[in-house]
Amino acid sequence: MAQPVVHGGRPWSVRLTGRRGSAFWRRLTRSPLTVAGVIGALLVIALGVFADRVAPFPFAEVHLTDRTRTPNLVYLLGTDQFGRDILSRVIFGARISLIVGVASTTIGSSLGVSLGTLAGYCGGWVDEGIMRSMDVIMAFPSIVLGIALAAVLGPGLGNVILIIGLLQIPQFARITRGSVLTVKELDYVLAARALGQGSAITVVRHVLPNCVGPIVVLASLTVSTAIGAEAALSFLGLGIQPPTPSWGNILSDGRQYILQAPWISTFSGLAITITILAFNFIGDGLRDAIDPRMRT
Amino acid sequence: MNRPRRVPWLHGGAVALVCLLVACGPAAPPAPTAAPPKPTTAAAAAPTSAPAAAPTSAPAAAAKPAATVAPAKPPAPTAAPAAAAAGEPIRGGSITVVHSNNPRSLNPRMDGGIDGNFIMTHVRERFLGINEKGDIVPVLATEMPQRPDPLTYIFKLRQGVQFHDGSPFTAEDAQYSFNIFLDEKTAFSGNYRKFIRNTEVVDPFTFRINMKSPWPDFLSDMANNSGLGILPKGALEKYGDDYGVKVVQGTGPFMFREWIKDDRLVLVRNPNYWQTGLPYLDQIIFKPIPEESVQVINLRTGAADVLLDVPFKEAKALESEPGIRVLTHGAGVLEELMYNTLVPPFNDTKVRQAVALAINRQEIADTVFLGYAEVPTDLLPSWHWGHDPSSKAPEYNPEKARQLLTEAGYGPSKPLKFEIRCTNQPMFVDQAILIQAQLAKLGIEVTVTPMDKTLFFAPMFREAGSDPKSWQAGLEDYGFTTATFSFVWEQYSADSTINTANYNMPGGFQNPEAAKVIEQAAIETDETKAKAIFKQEYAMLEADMPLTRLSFLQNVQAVRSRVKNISALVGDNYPFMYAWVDKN
Amino acid sequence: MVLRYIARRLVMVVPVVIGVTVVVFTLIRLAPGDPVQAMLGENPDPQVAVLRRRALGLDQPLPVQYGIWLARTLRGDLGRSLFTREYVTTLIFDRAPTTISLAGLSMLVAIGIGVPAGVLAATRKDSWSDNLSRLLAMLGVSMPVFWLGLILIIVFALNLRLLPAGGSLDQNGPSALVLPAIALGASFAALIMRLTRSAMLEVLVQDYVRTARAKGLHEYTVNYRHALKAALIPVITVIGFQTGTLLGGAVLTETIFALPGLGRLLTSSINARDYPVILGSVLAVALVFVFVNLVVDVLYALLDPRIKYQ
Repeated sequence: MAQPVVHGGRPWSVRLTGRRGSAFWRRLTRSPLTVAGVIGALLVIALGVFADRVAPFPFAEVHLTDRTRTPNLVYLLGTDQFGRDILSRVIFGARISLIVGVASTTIGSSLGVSLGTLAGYCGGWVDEGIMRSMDVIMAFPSIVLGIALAAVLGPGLGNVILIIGLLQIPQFARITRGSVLTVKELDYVLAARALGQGSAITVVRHVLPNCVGPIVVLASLTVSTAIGAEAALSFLGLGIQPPTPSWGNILSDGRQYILQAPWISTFSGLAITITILAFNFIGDGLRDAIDPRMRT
Repeated sequence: MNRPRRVPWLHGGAVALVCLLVACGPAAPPAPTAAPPKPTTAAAAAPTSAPAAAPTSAPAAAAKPAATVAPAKPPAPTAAPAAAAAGEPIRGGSITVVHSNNPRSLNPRMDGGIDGNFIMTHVRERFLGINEKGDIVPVLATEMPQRPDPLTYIFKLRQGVQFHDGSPFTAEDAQYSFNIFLDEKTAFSGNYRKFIRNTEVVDPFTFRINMKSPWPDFLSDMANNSGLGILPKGALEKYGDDYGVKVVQGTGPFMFREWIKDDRLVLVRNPNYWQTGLPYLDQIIFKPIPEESVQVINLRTGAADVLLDVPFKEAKALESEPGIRVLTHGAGVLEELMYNTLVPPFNDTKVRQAVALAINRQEIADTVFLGYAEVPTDLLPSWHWGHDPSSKAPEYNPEKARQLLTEAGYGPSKPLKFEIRCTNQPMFVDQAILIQAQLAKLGIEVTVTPMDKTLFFAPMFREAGSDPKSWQAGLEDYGFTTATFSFVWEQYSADSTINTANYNMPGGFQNPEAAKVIEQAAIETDETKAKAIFKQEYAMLEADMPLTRLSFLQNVQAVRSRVKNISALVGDNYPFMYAWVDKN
Repeated sequence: MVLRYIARRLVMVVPVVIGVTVVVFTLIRLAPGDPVQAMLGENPDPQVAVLRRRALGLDQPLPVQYGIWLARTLRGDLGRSLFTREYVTTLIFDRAPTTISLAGLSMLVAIGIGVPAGVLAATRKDSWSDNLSRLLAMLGVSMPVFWLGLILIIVFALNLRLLPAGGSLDQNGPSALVLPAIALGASFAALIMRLTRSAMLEVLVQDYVRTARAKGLHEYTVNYRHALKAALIPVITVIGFQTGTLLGGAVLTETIFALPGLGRLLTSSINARDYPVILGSVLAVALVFVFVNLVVDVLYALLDPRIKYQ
């Protein structure tokens, strides 16, 4: 969800310490939604990291005498068609979904930022070539490209990460390029270049730090898009394969039982919704905090 | 209708042996008939005892007199309750049938897919068909074919039959159709090309088919595969690219009206159908709805009248819903775990037997199929005449399994590990996961790999370019016709293309005795002798265990109570032939 | 200057669209399975398979096949479905109205929810109504659209019997689009809300708004007249950028609601490996996306001259 460079040409710099730094933290924590988002994200991350210890049951353990039970004291979120504890599966699903979210965002951002920097800094044909390629990827409804890629690569965790990561590259490239273009012309950057500083050093020392803001914002939003994309791929049978639980495949699996055992889909759907909300609020909060002109 | 079948033709998702529901009352056959012919195997086909003029219903005395040109609109019976015995069938009305997938194609040059073939069974007919009980009966032929020698079939064709465009049906049309099915540019059935040499028009109503080599399954194949329906001579040329999209020709009880892909396929009544008085419905609309729960919701809200393939989990809930009837019948679907005897670990009989002993089949039937399945106790399902009612359930004995595994060299220090492949459908994945859990109790490590259909089947069917040694165990279902032949031969004969276990095939597990018995069982026509051979075959198969038969499924359909006289699916017969709707 | 920009962008459209078709063509051909296998069933006669592939032109080298397709397409001939021999253009034009209606209606729903929510959030920044409206608008984008769709069907079609559970426009009339449009629109409402809010916030601190306030204009007028006009810019932007996502969401929505639109055409043709239909539909979608973006970019450049556009 890239936006054109619109903020009057000033770089988005992020200061984390000092007078401007503490203003940043204040702005960040001002909105209750952002705070809620941070808490939510931390909770999900904790669940994912400590899944083995927190989950009451192993995620693949079947209890055939307790199939499709409504939530009760033993199975806090109920059981699925095999009697597997939904709570445990959702907790382990947090791990998988987070892995998908973070890994694909890492791929997307690192490749995207590199390409965007290259395009912005070099200009000319390099710029055109890279940006048109990005356009090609963006011209697809992402689902269709995802289906096509999954048809070629097959389902499974690694491929899902790869596919979603690939789909995220263009946005990072565009945003980075926009920022680089803005910063490129600033006085101190021009000065550095005039002084003979190598391009690579200029980029790393002066240009990139000033683009961090929008990139970080986009990254946090991208994590949530990735989680949603995993759910969509699982809906089509192209995502993480059972019995490994991911929120997407629990939700998709639960579709068959939505009339008799709706809790299967409900809790995984809620997990997806809450996590996406959390990362969205973090992203919004970051954007508000970074851009000082949002002060009224 | 979603069950992929491993038989060479893709069609008729659920084959079932059916009794018409008591609530519907017996259908009204247009002509009195004798007892229906028994399912015969083609190789020894003799004309059946009673030449039946039409697919027959239950042999009970017909409830209606023979002449049944129903009056245009009889006064509707006052609010006939759903469960009451038969009212008079009323002509007219429209029903909406909900199913899962778009037909792939309606063109005779292509395989129509399961849904396509099922729908088209109402439009296209062959010389033979299947009646509601699963027997092969003559349809466009007047009787079962004459067999002057094992390589020849002579069919006497029915006179006075019209195609939907009005032209009369003769042997010329049959030859035109068979040419399409045999020509290398237009055929889709590999088997027709493999076995049939040529066809002859002997006279306008006698048609002769000459085979290259014996094909025991020929008549059963023809009876079950609506894709091989007869079309009028010159139809493809006359209609060109419109054929299969705007026009489909046949002799069946319903005519093709329109097909809007992903939206609906509409059939209308054939007023000149050769079984006078049938069918009753004016119109059938087939709607493809991909999402299972939305299908059920459409049925419950009344937007649809018939749901062809009710998910088992919905069945119980629907049973108690007012206004909806749930029909269950033994289906022609067998769930099984296939072992590849070409490679370890399943080249060792002890391992196969051990795994079979360690699988709790009843638990699978109850868990995955919610009781809508029966554990196979015999070679043949319980509704088949060849079934031995005294046969017992297969053994479930984890201790014995453990012992066998130790004998085979596996144990806690060297656990048995193997991979179960299956296609990407919840039904198969669920079974595989359950087996994984069951076997884990013995320390057996199973990995479950769901995969794409084409990748799954290629090595099992030994297709060119695939590696037949690349798989160890596969979980699929086997869709069978009700002909005895398919039960006793198709999976186990070394000559069959779907002998996935490579049983008695080069490199695979060998048992020449069993191979002989299998071939015998396929051609024995004397019932008593056949039963004895079946018993023998079953004992040998249980000992050799090339595959573990998990469950015979039931087919579940749901209909709204306004729809009467639905006969459930048997191969590709006409479930809607006798159906009618209450005007209320 | 603007004309030159438009011309330049138009020229750039061509390689992008061609790039899209190349990528799709390559991917689909790389995927296992081919349509001839589907046509001939599970036990094909190899001889027939060879002839069928030849008849359909599938045995030629891939670049040649692509070249033939491209040449035909440039003449306006998108070919025919491999399975039903229907013209691809006919198929697309038959299905497009459903998807376009769905997309349009969804956009209306999204704007109808998003703009008021965004204005509310902006004018009462950091208040509880700001946070509440943000939360509600975000719910839509956070719920997977197919889940939301199923829930809507269960509530409105099954329990309340108010609306049909899927089915086409032909049968059920416009009411068939209501639930799908809500499901799909909800996922965009958040985006529109967010953009409206941030655009309005920017504008609200601008000089000319302050001046207007100082002049004593009523608060209401200040808000809605000056600010909203400027805030429409990001809304227009989002229409462009989100066309792709909208069409993607339409794929899932059409499957759940059994709507016979372009999305379903795409998924079923991909499953069947019906290459001409796949390529034709993807081309149509890419063209729409690219042109909508072009229009948006041009409008954008025209409307706000302060924007520096590279």
